[in-house]
Amino acid sequence: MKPKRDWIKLPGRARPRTFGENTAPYINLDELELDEDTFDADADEQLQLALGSDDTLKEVAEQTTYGAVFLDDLLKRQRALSISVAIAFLVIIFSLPLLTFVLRPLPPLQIFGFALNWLFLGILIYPVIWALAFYFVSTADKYEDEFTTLVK
Amino acid sequence: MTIEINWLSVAAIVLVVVATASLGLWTVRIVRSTGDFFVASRAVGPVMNAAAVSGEYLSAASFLGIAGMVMKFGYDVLWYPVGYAAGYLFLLLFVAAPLRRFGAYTIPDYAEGRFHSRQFRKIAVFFVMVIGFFYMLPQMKGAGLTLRTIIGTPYWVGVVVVGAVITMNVVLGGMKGITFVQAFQFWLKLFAVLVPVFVMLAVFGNYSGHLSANTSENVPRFEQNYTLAYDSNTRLVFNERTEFTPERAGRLQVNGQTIELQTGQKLATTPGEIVLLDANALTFAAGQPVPNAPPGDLWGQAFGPLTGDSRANPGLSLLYTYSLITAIIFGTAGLPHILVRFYTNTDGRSARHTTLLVLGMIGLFYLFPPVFGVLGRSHAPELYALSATDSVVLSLPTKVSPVWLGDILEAIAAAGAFAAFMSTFSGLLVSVSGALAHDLYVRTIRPAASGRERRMAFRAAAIIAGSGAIVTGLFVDRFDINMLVGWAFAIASSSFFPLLVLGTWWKGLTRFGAAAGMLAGGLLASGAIVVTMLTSGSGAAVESGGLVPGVDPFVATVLAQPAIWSVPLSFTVMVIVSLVTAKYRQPDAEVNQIMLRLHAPDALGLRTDYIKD
Repeated sequence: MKPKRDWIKLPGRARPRTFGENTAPYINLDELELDEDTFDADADEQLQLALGSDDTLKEVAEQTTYGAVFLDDLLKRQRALSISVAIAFLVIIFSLPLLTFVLRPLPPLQIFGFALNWLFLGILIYPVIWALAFYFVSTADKYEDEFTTLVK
Repeated sequence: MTIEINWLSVAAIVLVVVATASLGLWTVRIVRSTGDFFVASRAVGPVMNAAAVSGEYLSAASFLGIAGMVMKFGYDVLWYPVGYAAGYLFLLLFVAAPLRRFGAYTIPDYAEGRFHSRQFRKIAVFFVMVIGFFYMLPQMKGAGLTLRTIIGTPYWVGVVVVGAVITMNVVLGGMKGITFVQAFQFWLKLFAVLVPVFVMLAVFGNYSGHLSANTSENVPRFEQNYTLAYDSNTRLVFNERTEFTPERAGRLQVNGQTIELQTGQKLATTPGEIVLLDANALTFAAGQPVPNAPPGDLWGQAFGPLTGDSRANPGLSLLYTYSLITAIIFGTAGLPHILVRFYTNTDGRSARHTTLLVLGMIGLFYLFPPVFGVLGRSHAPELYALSATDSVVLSLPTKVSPVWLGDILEAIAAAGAFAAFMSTFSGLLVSVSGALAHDLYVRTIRPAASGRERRMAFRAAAIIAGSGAIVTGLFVDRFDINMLVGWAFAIASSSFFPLLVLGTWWKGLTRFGAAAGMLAGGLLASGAIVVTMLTSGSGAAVESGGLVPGVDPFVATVLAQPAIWSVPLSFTVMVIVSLVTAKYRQPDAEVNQIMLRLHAPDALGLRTDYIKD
């Protein structure tokens, strides 16, 4: 069975206005089914499906040039960064209940007269979250800058 | 005990309501286009947007619920604020920047756009409504409770009045200008939690001292004589021998035996449970142990009463804890009404910076609600006896002397509480009405609807959703605010979170896989929660983390906190069904195009928004 290709139904006028010279390669204009039911009289509320608008985009989008390789590489680096920060945090946060569970029989620890478990979960964990988030944002920004320099 | 109305609090509430309504109306004037209406023309800067996200996010659960639940259950509840904040870390890592770059208006827009599937949009709309509905209930409870605490009106008055006022607001003003209002309400809430905490710490003494006192004493004791009114069939749990005097004749049940009470006859009860079969009022003398308060050692340590009977089933308490953490940290990144705010940023990078700022703002806020809970156990223990710990943020400041200072602090806290449930309820109502009107009515039922018809549809949807929330809100008085919100998170973590993560980072996800995973995880989690809601606790208050009594404790635990199985289930179903239906995958070029839109750095200027303004 051929999947119903409702992804090329454009909500739009009789002609798809946003399909100019820079039509992305996978769209075959001959195949376009225009769904008149989705015609929307209110121009202000018109949705426009934006599929590529300049040549640089085309180059990366066509996935045939170096740009494609770079983007794939960027995607992998970003994903690896996200996953490693997530794992670092999950290890911290998921080991805490287990640690508490194992140490249960011992008398509760105190530090500066403050119950250690409350001190950590009530206060100290927030700076840990902030540090991880800051590290992620600055590294992700750096990756993007490097990519931008490379492509341009 | 009669309630003296603190007119200062009433004035503060009126001021917040009027200020919110007029700020909304004032900003409506500068709103012109559809883009303004839905995404504020995507021109909101990180600081403003971060305050708006935080303002919408810090709901009755954060402002009232956390403090109340820390007081009631102790240490384990700290996982709620930690999870509420840490959830934004996952939103930052996996969702924020790509979602913004996609450039839609709503999450169902993303769902349809990612797979180019109309059918898939309907599934997304369904979950927007389910999550919104679960999230609105605790806001309604917050409203009923706040008015009851401040003015002494019955619970339903607050629900109906506040629900109607906010619904009217949304019906008249729509989403327009809400960003500025939400941002204003964040700063109001931060102020309203900071000032009472610092004054109370100065008056009552330091945090750690209260903490160790709370933990070392077995049960808190009444600080003065209290006469407390009870409805019929109220259950009271005593941890120590306690003396009390009934003010009226009536029946009392203890160990299966029924005892006739006589007016003014002093009684003593051994540790255990009693049920007041008839409505009555009991007088407790100063120094008597407070009923319903968990013992200090359980309260102060992990795996306390929240997580079930940890003395009998320690392993299940650990399971409960893990499941709760899973629900909250992954649920935050799947809340539709929060996610839409990221579309208002200028680009992906500023969405990321916004999230970082949100983490700072709400992390700062979440340091304080637990302080209320800790001080509450020491200084307002009668709230345990009334099963009214959820009101500790409002009740505790009145214990500060002199009276005028206590009144001012209560007024500040009341203003903050109103800002909390008003901002969240309006945001939710807009999100649910938008799902009904924009995503369902316009996109699928009647695409030719004119602008006027759309606005009418939005208003009709807001009235339907608002009245629905008011009516169901009347029945949730016995649930802890925070627990109700926790359930909304469990559903979000098993539906939208897997969709957004896999949809954004895995090219191989098919629409069939995504739909099957969302339905499997989301529906089963919702089912488990509805079963828990309908069957847990028959008395005035639900105890012990919402666990259903009388069933196998393992089953009760995984029903009350389903995320531990429903999140992995949702991910697994998505992956397996996607692999099985791999031949229905979108063409490579199309998926690459979508990935490009999601991930290409903004500086390249490649990306164009899915929906242009």
